[in-house]
Amino acid sequence: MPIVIENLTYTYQTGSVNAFTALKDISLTIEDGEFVGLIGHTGSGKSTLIQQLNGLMQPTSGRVTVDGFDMNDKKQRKSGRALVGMVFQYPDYQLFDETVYKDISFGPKNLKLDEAEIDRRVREAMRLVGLDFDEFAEKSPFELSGGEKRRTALAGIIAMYPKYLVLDEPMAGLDPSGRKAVLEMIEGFRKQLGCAVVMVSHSMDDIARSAEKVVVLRSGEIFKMGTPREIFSMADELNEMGLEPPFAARMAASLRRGGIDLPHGLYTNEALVDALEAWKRGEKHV
Amino acid sequence: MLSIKNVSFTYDSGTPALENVSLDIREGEFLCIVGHNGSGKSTLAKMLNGLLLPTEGAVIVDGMDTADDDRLLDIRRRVGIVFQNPDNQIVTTVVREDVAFGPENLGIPTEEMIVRVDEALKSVGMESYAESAPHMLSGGQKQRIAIAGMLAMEPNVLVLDEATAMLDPYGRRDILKIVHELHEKKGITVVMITQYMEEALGAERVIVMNSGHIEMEGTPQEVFARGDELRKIGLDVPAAIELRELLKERNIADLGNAMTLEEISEGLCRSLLKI
Repeated sequence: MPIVIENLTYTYQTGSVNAFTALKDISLTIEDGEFVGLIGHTGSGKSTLIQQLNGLMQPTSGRVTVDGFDMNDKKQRKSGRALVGMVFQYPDYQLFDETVYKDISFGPKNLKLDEAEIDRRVREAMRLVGLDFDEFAEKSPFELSGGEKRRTALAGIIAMYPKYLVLDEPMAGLDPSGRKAVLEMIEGFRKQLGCAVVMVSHSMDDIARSAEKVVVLRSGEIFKMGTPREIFSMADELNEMGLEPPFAARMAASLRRGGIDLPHGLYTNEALVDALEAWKRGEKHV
Repeated sequence: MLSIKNVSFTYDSGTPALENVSLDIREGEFLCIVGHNGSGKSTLAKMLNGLLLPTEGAVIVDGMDTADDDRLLDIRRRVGIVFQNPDNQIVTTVVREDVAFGPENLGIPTEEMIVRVDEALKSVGMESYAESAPHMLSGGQKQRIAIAGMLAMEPNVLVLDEATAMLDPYGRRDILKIVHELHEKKGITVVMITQYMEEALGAERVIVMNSGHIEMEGTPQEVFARGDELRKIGLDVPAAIELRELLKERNIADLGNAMTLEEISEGLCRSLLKI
């Protein structure tokens, strides 16, 4: 069953003079196994929204159900929360245990699994994130490089076998090859574990590459929802909202303004080049 | 004016971070240092004002050795560094005081300090926030305050150590614009350390670090022409240059040295529409 958000409104400091409504009447379904990209300007409500997905925050009005569990209900919330793996920004700063092994096993231990199952999951998670067991299991997290810390933090979450993996800017601060590796890893878990992924990112290029559905938040409301193709066709609107569309989409918009009538929905350099080649051959867009 | 001579550096843990690096930074230049995580670029940045001292070799700022304790204050006055995390660089509860913190420590007289702080805030477009609380500002605004704090010390060299890494694309663009303005209008020498290859396009010279040494050096044009080598060491070329190369490979258009979206778009329209 999916995560269903129905008419969710969230107000910070309800009733006080500082009351601030961060989310307004949000309705959204995250289907099983789906990859959803969540984008929006700083302050648009992205972080508030993802914290509703595992019940860290509860709606002021409206309802969130995770796999049928009503997150407004205290008892059901616990069951729902166990299905949602949250990875916050800069998870590398959240490592705390003496060894990589202990850090990754922390979550599975809390699930009250037996030792053998915990060990199996830690090994599997380390393999999935590309950390060699013999080399890293007994290392202190503090001896690791930035990229290795990020992998350890991700391994700790996936060892809990989340049905839904929620990630807030998982690639922030990594170099280009690190970004690519983490994104490929996330795509890999999704295939292997069959989990749904909700990813918040400022990088439209990363969203364009991986997401099946893109949700655009603006001032606490869903401004638009659609396939990357539909969303990134609106290069000018995104720009106005302070979101930078993928490079190829901005380029296509600029070329259209210059008089080359390219089709809509181009957001990778490869697709753009294909379209330009077709245009040059005379197969002009109709 | 800033000379790095055969510098090697090994952290206490025994990990070598720099191996025999030599680099001269010219007065008034805009230099960009790129490299993957762990390539040694941040270690190099911290060498520039004596936050770290070489294990071997020397760093000379305007004739002063960073290893000379007596000159350290002079060196830090000349070379200011802005770091990655905006929250770690705020020390007071009012923006104006935060910007004044550095010059105050240098013993600048009050009247002059007020002038410097106002001027610095104006340079980063934050003058209307002088009396605000820094913790209420966005990440990009905090970084502008951090830059203003450096400017108030009137440095010759401004070093940005991944100062845009934690900002959203617009915050990043703002900082980049401000830094370019400071370079053009005030002639400040800029050393920008970054993982975003796009940010290196506007530099006069690009240094590519890999495993603690300088792997490549040249203009952005020269460095980004070596895309395959860059990818091999975990880097990338800016999307604009990747597109330009693809257009050439597929015989759609040869756009020469175009590096920005505007240049490529213009060139393509001219070439395809035969204007």
